Parts: sequence; C-alpha cells; structure tokens
Amino acid sequence: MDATVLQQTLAAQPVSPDTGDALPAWFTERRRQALVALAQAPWPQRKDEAWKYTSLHELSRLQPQAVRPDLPAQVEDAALAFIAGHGVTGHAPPFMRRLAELVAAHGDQAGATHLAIDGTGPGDVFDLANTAFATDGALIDVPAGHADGTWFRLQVSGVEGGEARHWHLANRIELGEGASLRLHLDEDATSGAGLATLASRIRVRRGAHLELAWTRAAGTMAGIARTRIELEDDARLTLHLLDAGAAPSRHDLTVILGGERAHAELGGVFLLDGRSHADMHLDLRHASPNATSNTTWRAIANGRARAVFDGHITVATGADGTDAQLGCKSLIGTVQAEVDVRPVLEIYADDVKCSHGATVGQLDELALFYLRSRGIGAELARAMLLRAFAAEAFGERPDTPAAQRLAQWLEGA
Amino acid sequence: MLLTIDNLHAGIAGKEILKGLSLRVGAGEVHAIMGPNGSGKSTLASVLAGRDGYEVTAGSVAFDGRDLLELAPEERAAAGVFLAFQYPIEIPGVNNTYFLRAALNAQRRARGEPEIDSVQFLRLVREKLEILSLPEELLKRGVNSGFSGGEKKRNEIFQMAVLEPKLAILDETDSGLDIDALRQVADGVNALRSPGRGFIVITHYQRLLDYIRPDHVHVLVDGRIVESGDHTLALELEAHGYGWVAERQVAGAGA
Repeated sequence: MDATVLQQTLAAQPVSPDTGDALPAWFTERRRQALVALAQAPWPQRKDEAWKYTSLHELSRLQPQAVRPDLPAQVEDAALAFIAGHGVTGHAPPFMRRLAELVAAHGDQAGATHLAIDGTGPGDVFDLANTAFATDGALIDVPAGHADGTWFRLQVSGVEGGEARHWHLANRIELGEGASLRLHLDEDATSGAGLATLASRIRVRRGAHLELAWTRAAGTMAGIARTRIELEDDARLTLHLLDAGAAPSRHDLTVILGGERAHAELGGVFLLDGRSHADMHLDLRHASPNATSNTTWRAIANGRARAVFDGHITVATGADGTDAQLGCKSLIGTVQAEVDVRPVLEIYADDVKCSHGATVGQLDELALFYLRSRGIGAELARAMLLRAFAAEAFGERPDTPAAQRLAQWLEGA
Repeated sequence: MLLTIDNLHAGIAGKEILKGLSLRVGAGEVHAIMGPNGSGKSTLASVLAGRDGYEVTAGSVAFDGRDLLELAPEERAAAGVFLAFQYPIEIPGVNNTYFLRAALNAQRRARGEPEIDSVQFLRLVREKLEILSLPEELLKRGVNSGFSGGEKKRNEIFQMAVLEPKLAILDETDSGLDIDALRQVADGVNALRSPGRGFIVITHYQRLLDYIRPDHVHVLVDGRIVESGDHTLALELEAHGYGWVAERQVAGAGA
C-alpha cells in the first residue's frame, strides 16, 4: 500500500532540524534510517487487531510540520519542561537531565545506549517517527539507594496555532538498586491538529520503587505514547494514569515483571467527554516467579467519547507463584458514548492466581438522589460520585498528583 | 402550618399508589404514619423528598408557604426538608465528613447564609456526635460504607442533627434495628424535637412509638389516611392489627 500523506510529509522533512546544536553523526544517521523505514512502514488500520477500535484515518491525511517554539528562559514549577518536543531544565536534581544536553555534550556513542530502542525491533510508524525526530526528553538516572519523597514534575506541552504540527519526546528513566522516585508526567491539553509521540523506556533495578503519576489533559492532536517498564527482583512500580483523551490518545504500555517478587500496581482512569478518544493497550508480562500485579482501570465516557482498554496479561513458563489481578469498570453517561474493554489472560505457568473482570454500567441514580436529598446540587453530586468511582483506580489515595488532577478536572466539568 | 398535603395522588410507572392523601403537620408536632405493606408509606416519603420516577397526578403539597412539588430535591433540602432513608445508600469513596460539609454548605449557600469553615464544622460535628453517642471514627469512612444496619440508621439521624431541618421524615427508621439500636435512634430523634421542627415518623410497628411518643397517629391504607388519632391509636393497632381498621372502615361506610 502507498504511504499516507502523513508519512510522505514526514519523510520529506530533514532529520537534523535547525536546533542550533550540532548533532553527532551516528545520531543523524540513525534518524535518517528511521525516516526511510517510516516512509515504507504499513499504516495501522482498523482491520489490524491492535487498531480495531481506534481510527487513524484523519491523522493519515495531515501534513504536520515541525515547530521551533519560543522557550522560556527559566522554569519555576517543574523539574523539566518540554514545549513541542524542546526542553528547558527547571528545578531538577543532578540525576535528572535532558537528552538534548547529553547529545550536545557527548557527541559520541555514549548517548547511544540511552537512545537505542533495544529489544523492541524497529517498531511501527510512530516508533519510527519518534526515533527520527525526537531530540529531547527526560534522562533520569536515580543513583542506587537514593530515596526522596518529593514529587518531581515533568511538564509536557504543545504550542497554540492553526496549522498541523508534529513533535516528539524520548524519555529514558532508570532507578538504581534500592532507589525510589516519585515522578509526575504532566501533559497539558493540546490544541489544533497533528501528531505528538512520547516514547519512554524505564528500568527499575533490584529493590527500587517508582511511583509514576501520568496525567494527560484532553487534546485535539493525536497523542501516541509508547512506554516500556522493566522491573528487576523485588522492584515495585506504582503507576497512576489519568487520560482525558485526544484525537486519539493511544498508549501502548508494556510492563515486564522480569525479576522475582516484583510488584506492579497499575491504576488508570479515562475521563472522556465530547469526541475524545482514549485507547490503552496494556501488555503486562509476568516473566519471573512470585511476582504480583494489580491492575485497576476505570473508564468514564460521556458525549460521543470512546474508551478502549485492552489489558493483556501473559504469565510465562516458569513464572510460578504469579498473582495477577485485573479489573476494569466503566460508566457510560450517554447513548453515543462507547467503551470497548478486552481483558486477556495467557498463562503458561503452574500455580498461578489470576483473575480479570470487566463491568459496564451507569451512574447510580439512587446514590445521586441520596446526595441531592441532602442539599448537594445535581452537578456537584455527579462529580462526587464520578470521583469516588474513579478514585478506586488510585487506591483511594487523595494526595497523589493523579488523584488531585482528577478532582480538579471533575470540579471544572 | 409547616406542611399541608391536600388530596395527593401519586404513583410510579403509571400505577397510582397515593389516592387522595391529605395531612397537615404543624411546627413542633410529631406525626406517626402507620400502615400495612404496600399502603403507600414509602411512596409518600419519596414524593416529599422529590425522588425521580414518582409522578404526582393530582393534589398539592405546601411547605413553609412554598409549593414543595415545584422544587428539585436539593432545593427541598435547602428549604428544610430531610428524609431519613429506609435503606441508606452506601457511597464508598465519598468521605462522610466531606459529604456532610458539602451538604451543609450547599444548603447555606442556597439560603444566602455564609458557609462554615472546617474548624466550625468540626466543632458542630463533635457536638452532634456526642448527642447521638456515635464514634468519631464513623466520619472518616465513606458514606455508609461498611456500616452495620444500626450504624446506617444512626448516621441518618446524625446527618439530620447536623443539617437541622424544619421537617424530618423518618422512613421506617426502626426497620432492622435491635432494641438497643432502636433506643439510640429514638434518643437521637427526641433530642432533636423542638418547637420549630416537625416530624413525620413512618413505621410499620408500634415499637418505635414507645420511645418517640407522637402527637398524632395516622393509619394509611391503600393510599389514603383512613384513621387519625392520638398515640393510643398506635396501641390499638398493635392489639388488633390493620384488619381492625379496615373493618371499621367498612362498618363506617355502611352506616
């Protein structure tokens, strides 16, 4: 099949944009190769199983251009801030840098280990676009044993403007043995049309604990996130993901419980209205014995919104003693809204405890009446019930960035 | 008159349940409404509180000089109507304290009164908890979430104590309670009796009325009040059963 307008448009663009920094030769070559592959890669279509519920037809016809945003001289309220793919360092600890700094500072292979997409193959059009165009992203390397209760905020935003555009970020995050980190990846709303890709590779070493709050405000661009998180022995991951959808917002999240007794706590909330579309494809792999995972998803779809949750758990041969729980509950507020949930369990080990469940329903009218009968207006009552419903995904902890953002978005609605 | 119900006809899903009910409740009065299953007791409570799905086909309800039926449920609450639910709803994830403060402040805003801050609210809540001898622990949980049957009913009375309505409707608050819980609920209600406040106590049994002595007792049969009297009527009912009232009605009609 012929390349789409989008692919042709991207393939015709230079891989070394005028960033002012000289990019090392290996870096430029890698990008050039990715761009060639991008032009030839098949475009994802609805007949592909992984894209059954998410159409990329409108995106395929766009002709997005790269942007060179005006960057603020300094950033006060974030550790790192990225505007349309270009970063500014704010109040970041020494172990938190930007990819662009590294590439500029070490015009050699040193950066290659951070940038290489090892073990995942060349990827699809969006992986390739990210490889070809991302020049910046968070580069976090928490030293072994480092513990800090602070939430570090990474702000990701786009630019205002009429014409279609594209931008890309590549994050590399590693927690050393026994380290802990709290990170809030805070994506602002996008306006206008275009494509934004966000590729993150995360490794949590032995005994380390990553708490990642990821909030994605409603947008009108196509936001494609690719995240791969690997956990070693006794490592822990707490992921709270709040997504208000985009056109579309698609997240392919791979979590690999590679070490024994690793634990992943995954909570996600879709809060969708209007024509928003959010699509989570979770690929959760229990690869070692005695690892545990608990996945709790909540989808709220109003207007003509559409939520897709594809939760795939694989328990590999030898991963005995696995405990994997997955649950997804949805609330549909209008007849035009739609939720598609597909939980899949694939088990190749013995002695495992796995369960999955999915329900779809509507807001409890009796609970709504109960709140109103005490004097609470219909709108606030509805927001309170939605918040309670969704908060289950965040372990009923009201203090985390994702839970706080959820409250803000509901009260603003 | 605090509440004037005149010739109320109402039902659900096209089925008429209240068939011309009339009742007047003055400030400071406690009215008990008794009746067999299916007589319309809970329908009356639902219609007064404004629950969706109930249609009023005829009649009127005036509350404190306003047409109650015109108001949304939250407006009725702000006007001073409180319904203690027969089956209080569990709302896990909505904190009890947060809920109650949101309710109180929503009512105060609607009445043009200033909101009360968290310090004042806590003081108020502690004072009311003491009256009802409820543990403060209850406030930290979700609304009715994981409460025992007795705790749920006491929580209703506690909410009533905090919200201080002009008219409290107790819908079979005694159902499912053991004798100790019944007494606690009744003590709570009695503590809230005041010259400015009216009560409608809906009950199936006379038992609750041993503890909350009503000024008036009404017998509801087939959507109408067929007999009214003082508290001794409840005792008669207990002794003779609802069949006794029906027979008296038939006899009365034939006379």
